[in-house]
Amino acid sequence: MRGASAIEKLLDEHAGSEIRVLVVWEPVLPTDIRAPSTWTLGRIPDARVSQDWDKDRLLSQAMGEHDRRSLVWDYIGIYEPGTMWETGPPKPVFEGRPVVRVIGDARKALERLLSNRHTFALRGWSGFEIATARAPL
Amino acid sequence: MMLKIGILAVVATLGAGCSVFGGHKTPSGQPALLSLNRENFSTVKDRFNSAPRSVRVIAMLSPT
Repeated sequence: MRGASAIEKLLDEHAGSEIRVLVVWEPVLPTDIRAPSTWTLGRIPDARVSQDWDKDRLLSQAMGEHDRRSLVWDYIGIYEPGTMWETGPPKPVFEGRPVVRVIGDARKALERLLSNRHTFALRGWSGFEIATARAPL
Repeated sequence: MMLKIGILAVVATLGAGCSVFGGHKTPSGQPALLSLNRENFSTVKDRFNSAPRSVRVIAMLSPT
């Protein structure tokens, strides 16, 4: 629960920024017998968030879980604009866990990407400057 | 009469409790909670790819 609160606080601090958050709830502890309750989901009320219940930990497996020790949880990954998920989850520019312990570094990574975003917006998807690709008037 | 009111109050309280603690409703403005399986897992990928100009964050948490 502290991880959820830390993420909501991070979003509050960057209200209005172009951020999308995928929260994936997964059963890890013996008490995780049901999908998250309305109360739990309400811990992250920001409209830029989507929340899913991954009862079979499919995302964790896609990220490399093959036994109890390699389980991916209490985790945050941050991805720069332009990153696409193709055959598997892409590589983040920042990742860490547990969330409450790494939230400070996650904030720095997020703010760095948000400040670079303006530069990114001026470039085409291929990375070429739009100005150089534009035909002369 | 007082007994009936008491019973109604208990039922209403339990109902409200169930909807908050027993339901699975996402906050206003968010898509409904999706229970992932192998058939719909690509939804996560689609959601990720649907905002390529944004900074994206994936968080994986335990509900308790």
